[in-house]
Amino acid sequence: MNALRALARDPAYALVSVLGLAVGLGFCLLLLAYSRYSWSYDAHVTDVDRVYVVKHRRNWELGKRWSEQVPLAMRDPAKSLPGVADVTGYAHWFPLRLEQPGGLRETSSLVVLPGFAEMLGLEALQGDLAATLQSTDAIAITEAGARRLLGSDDVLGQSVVLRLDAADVLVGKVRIGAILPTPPANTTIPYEILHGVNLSMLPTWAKDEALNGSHAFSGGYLLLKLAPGGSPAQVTAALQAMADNSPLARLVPEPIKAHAGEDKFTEIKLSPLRDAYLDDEVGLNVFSKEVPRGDPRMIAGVTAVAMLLLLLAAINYVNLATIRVLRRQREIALRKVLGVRRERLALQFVSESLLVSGLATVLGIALAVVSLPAFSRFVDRDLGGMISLRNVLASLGLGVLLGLLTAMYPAWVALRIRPAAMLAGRGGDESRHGRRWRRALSVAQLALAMGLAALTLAVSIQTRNAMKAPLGFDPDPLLVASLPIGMSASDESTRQLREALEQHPAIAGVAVSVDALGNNREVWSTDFQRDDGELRFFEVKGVSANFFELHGIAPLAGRLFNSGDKGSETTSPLVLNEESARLLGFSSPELAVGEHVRVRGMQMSMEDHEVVGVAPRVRFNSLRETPPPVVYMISNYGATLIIRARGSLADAEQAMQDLWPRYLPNALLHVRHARDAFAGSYADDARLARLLALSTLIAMLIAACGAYVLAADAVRRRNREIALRKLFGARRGHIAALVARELGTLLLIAAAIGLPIAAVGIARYLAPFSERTPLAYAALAAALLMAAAVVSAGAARQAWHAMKMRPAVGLRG
Amino acid sequence: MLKLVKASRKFVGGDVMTTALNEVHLEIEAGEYVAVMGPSGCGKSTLLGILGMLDAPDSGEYWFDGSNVASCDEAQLNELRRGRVGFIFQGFNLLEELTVAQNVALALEYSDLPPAERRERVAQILEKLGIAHRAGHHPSQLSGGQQQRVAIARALVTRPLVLLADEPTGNLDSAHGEEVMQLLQQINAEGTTIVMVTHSAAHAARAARTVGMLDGAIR
Repeated sequence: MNALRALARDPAYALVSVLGLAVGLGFCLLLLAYSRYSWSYDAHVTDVDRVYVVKHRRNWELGKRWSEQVPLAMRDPAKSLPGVADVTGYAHWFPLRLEQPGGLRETSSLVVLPGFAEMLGLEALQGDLAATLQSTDAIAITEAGARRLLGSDDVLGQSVVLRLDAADVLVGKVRIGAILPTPPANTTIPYEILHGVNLSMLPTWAKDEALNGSHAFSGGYLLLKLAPGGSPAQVTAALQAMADNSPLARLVPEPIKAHAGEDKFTEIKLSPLRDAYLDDEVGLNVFSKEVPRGDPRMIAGVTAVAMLLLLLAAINYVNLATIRVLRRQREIALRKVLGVRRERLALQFVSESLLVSGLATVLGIALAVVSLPAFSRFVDRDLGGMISLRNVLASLGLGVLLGLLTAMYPAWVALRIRPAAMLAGRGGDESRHGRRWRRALSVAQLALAMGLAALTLAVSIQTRNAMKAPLGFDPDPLLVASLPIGMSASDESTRQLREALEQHPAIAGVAVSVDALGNNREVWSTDFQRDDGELRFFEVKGVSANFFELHGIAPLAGRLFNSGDKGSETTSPLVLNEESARLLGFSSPELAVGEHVRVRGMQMSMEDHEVVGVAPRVRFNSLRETPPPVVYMISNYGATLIIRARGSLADAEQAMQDLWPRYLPNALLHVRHARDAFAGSYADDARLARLLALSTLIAMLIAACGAYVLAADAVRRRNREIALRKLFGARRGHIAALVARELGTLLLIAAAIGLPIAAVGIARYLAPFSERTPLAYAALAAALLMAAAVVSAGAARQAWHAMKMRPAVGLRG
Repeated sequence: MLKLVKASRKFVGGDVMTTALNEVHLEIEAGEYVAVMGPSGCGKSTLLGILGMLDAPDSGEYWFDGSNVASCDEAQLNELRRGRVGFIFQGFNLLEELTVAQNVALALEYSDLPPAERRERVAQILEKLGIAHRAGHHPSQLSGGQQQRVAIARALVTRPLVLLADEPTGNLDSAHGEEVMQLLQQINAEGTTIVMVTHSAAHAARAARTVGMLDGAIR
């Protein structure tokens, strides 16, 4: 009650203290929720620490990327390895579509192998899961999936019509045999619908592949559970031996194997399922299930920022509470004279601090809970599951700890007050050492705020620059649509769709490519050789003859393909890009035109092709990747349509929406603006920039509060000096300069600490980009200006008081 | 030189109004040495504040060197005071962060004098008051008497017309107090007008004239 009364006597102090701490704590909790969410991916899986994802890398492929998809043929032999408890798997080959009166609806479905439910610890809420996953006509659906797709989770036994998103028209009526709990949002194995390999709609080859792996098709995911005490290294070695002796290794022709060089033909690795979310080495292919991935450095950074923001808020509170103790010196001295015991005095400050931190914690938790939905959208992650009794209790514990820690210094200052000196008017003050320590903390506050601001601005500038970087063509009038798995532009229905689109008045043209812009799922590569020169292994972009015309790309030398060109992979003329021309030994683009280059064909023989021109650098991927050497060939087997709008993009998109179902009624249309396809490459950067911006805002607010406290402290401490200076003729401007000099010095010290660290951070952030904007470093100066403005705003009131102070008042103390 | 005509000053604290000066008449000639005596709370310090233009009367007139300054604002008083009024306080009011020389130089910081002349004046006054050997020391390293000498040096370095001393010996032992009194007499003898507030009748007797105060009025 005493603590409450003490706070009530000084409502402005109570408000600033509680709000400052609550905002810092609330935002810290949000960041910690994001970080906890990210670190605890797949934690719901039973014995998750013993579950591993089997990865493989084909070293004979260009880029030698790791893949989480492996030949499912490994499942049976892997089960019998020593140290292995079980092996199961799942695939995402043919996503199911729900047929409803309004049309097709996309679902998130997986075909699962035997043992999947047991390994993930799945139990049906209703129905028989084991029987459903073995059934030929039943599926299991999650509660959330049922509500989203069917409007209710009371759907057990209900029949639905499903279609396979594939070239073949496979449709069937299935029964809902089990209702499953909804998996948490932070899983790398998300699903709404599960079904077994016996489902009658599945093509026969798919069933055969899933159960026997007879096609050695690397499109499924294998999950391996170690027996207690099992060694991942031993199991990996056994799996590697299996891969080394696989029939595939014997089937692949020698010229292809040669690309592996000194490396193993295929490498196998076990990755803990817990780390799958943070695995940044895996690439995607057309059969990959797209799941969000996190950058461990970014998440560690977010955790660090969360703790630093809490530290900033705590420093702020310690400063405020100490200033308050110094203002109450006379009262404290009097209480000491009246016989209060040291323990009681200390308890008074600890209880006041606990009260402030308690109120701030409750308010902070409330702020975090209220803003969690908006914050989830902000970071593009569903953090709803982070609100739990355990997390709330942990937050309260953090608040109590904060209260105890922040009470220590003000209580120590209070205990050191000497009543005799104080009451005799020889005002005891905080020790010089203590004051320096507090000022150092304030400098740390400013340094952190400035560093964060610089990093935020640099990330924003670079991301903006990357998004606007020239691509080699104008993406604005272009739409990109992907064909269903297994279809290509040479299929009759697709060819008819292209013709219909090309005749539509809203569409200027349609081109075909193997992969979508900004995407890198399907990389086709082969050997190239000029005369008897060195063999070169380049990426091949299979494109339609009108690809360059449609993109408005002009040649560097010779000519590019045009609508008149005919050809196929075996007869196509070649268009090199600048880099591939250079690597093939042409000293200038002009010298490549009309030359012949030998290309390894499907039958492994080297075929002669004529180079008709050299294309300029076209950016298919993000600025993080240096544009690779590429050879363009005419191909009709691409699965990506690129549509050029004649007028507005919206009209072209509408035309797509209208025509697509007429020719591809079995498939859902996925169409994007080409500009968005590139922007997708920077989604993580944009998220990082947003998080940093929010953190900077909070850090700057706290720093402004800190500047207010610093200025108040400076004015209080230099009260007499200010009065004397006025006595000797100082004008208001002189006093303002005095306060500015004191805070400016601290600001410069903070800049000297915070900005070099930020510069290192900026350099590390920019390092992976092949093109970096030098403007990113201007962020350092901008951050200094921003901090100066914040400090000025925070200190303005105190400076004004100092300027207005009458010397007689100051000298009276 | 200094003239108060029916000058009053009231302070309001909460619901209580205190009359610190009540229609005071006082005239001090140039070169005079006046002691102001009276019990605590009688308004001596308020009187000194108004004479030094640190404060202004609520009513009445205050003539400083021929100008009525009672209605001047803070900036005008600041200009009038600069270099013309010196102050000495009971608690010295020296700044611990600054050295003796820097404390003295503080009084010239806002003058128009060039830096070289400022340094010259500081050196002269420290020499004159016998504390030149302590120029680089900080106040806490000096005795009370030496600290008050530094304060007097700071008050005199601007060569003021008037020196206002608020119980200048209040924090000193008798030997150091006597030293300071002799110094003030010497300064007055050199032509500086001095108004000194004191509780000591012996020290007041060193002045040419003593003014008694009670309840905000001059007896």
